[in-house]
Amino acid sequence: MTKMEKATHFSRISRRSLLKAGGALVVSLGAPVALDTVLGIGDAFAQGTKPPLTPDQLSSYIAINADGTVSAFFGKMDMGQGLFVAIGQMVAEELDVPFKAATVIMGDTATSVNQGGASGSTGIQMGGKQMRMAAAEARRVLVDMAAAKLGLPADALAVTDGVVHAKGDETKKASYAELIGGRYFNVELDWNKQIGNLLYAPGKAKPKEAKHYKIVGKPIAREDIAPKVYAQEDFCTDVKLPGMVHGRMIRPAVAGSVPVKVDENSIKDIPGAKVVWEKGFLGVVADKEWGAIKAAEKLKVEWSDAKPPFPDQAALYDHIRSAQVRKREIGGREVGNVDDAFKTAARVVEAEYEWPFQSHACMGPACAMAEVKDG
Amino acid sequence: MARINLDVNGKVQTIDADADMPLLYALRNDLGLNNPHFGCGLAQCGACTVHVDGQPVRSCVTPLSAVGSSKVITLAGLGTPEKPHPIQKAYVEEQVPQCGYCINGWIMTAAAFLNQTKKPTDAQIKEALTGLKCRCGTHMGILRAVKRAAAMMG
Repeated sequence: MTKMEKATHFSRISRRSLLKAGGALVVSLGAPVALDTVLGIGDAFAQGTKPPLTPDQLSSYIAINADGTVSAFFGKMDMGQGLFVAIGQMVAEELDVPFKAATVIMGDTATSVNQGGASGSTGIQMGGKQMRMAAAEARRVLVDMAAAKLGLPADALAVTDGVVHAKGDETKKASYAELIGGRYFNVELDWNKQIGNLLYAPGKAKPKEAKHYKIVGKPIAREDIAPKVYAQEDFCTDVKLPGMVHGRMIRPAVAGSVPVKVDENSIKDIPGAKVVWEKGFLGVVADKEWGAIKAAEKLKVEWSDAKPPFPDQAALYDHIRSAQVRKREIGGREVGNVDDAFKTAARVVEAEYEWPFQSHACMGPACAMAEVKDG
Repeated sequence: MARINLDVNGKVQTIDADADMPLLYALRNDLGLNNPHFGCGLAQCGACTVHVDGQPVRSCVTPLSAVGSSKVITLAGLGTPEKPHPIQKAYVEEQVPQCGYCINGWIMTAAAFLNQTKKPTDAQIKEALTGLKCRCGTHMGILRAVKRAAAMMG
């Protein structure tokens, strides 16, 4: 089963236990690496200690666990798009392992490189692209290791369910677990030196052609649906820590306005209510959430005058129309000819459209939690 | 502050709270029921919906003083994986939610509607669910799930 680890749970478990929960025995616990491990089969590709968590290392994306299962370390976050399934499918497909043998681990900067945010439908097209290339490279490396072990050329080998075997003779074989299980890949990728959405670090392998897909494109049920439907999943806003206080931000009525005078006495009746004020930042905390909400309402604040250079609401579209055009090159390929298409069109429809200027806001309020420990 | 008794998911519990505090905060903070969510705080999105005596109610604007001894049911009290409400079963079968933050509004409103309306038409379902928001845009999936649940309920 694709095991899911949510960012909201991380406060309760240590990062090391998370790595173990991901099925990986590949965690180096600080013990020195035995010489026979280093000198083992495929020592050019595998090692016991983890290479640095950098975008140019294959081990930053893919690990083969001691039992032959795959951990895929994804540097984006599934916010409900189904990336746990989709990335798992892409990785399993390229590695030729069953879908259930691949676990996607995401949401922790200690286990994955920065592949960018969760917005803009970039999970597959940008994040997935990299995971596909990494998985394809992992398979290539594993086949090369098997070729050396079996004394056969790599192109005489095939992979079925995580076992590399001779084409036409499945008795000549080496499983992923035997080849590298429990040790890290020590393989460098051709990183483009970008992080976030633009990060791209292919290896030497070519990914599969779509016509050979067996796992990608198949509908697979998500495991986060039922826990959501039965109210068994915590969102960030739901996480509670012992002794936690609740906070609320206090915003000015006009952008650019800052607090000049804050009357802390105005909230003294609310249990635990305190003002948090630093330059333009103003907020309140209280023992209970309702207390923080009331304190935010009640706090007497004097704000500075500010006249931001915003257009009048009525003239908003004129402002947008006359704004300087900033061209963004998106690449891609050009097909057809716009001028010709208009000339030969059976009918040309002319109309003016205005896209509502509204907040690209989320359903729940933005939320953050901080736990101050050890000083 | 007053001592207030609340009948939630079949259990009466006593909390210390202001009578003007909305039910949502009593459920989330005093009773530790995370399922009703704060979305807009203005009864405009539905993410905080619970049943009060069987009716879908926006708990973010319902003061405790208005709840009294009424029976409150939250999503967690509606059904369980072992004993699901048909709309919960249908939601899983149709794989409806994406982020799932709004789920209380749709499921609790649809459950109350289906308890009262047998064999609803598409138009009736859409009418009943007007006023709920889903930022992921799963509306067609929701419609399929409500129809599936209606079929289960006969």
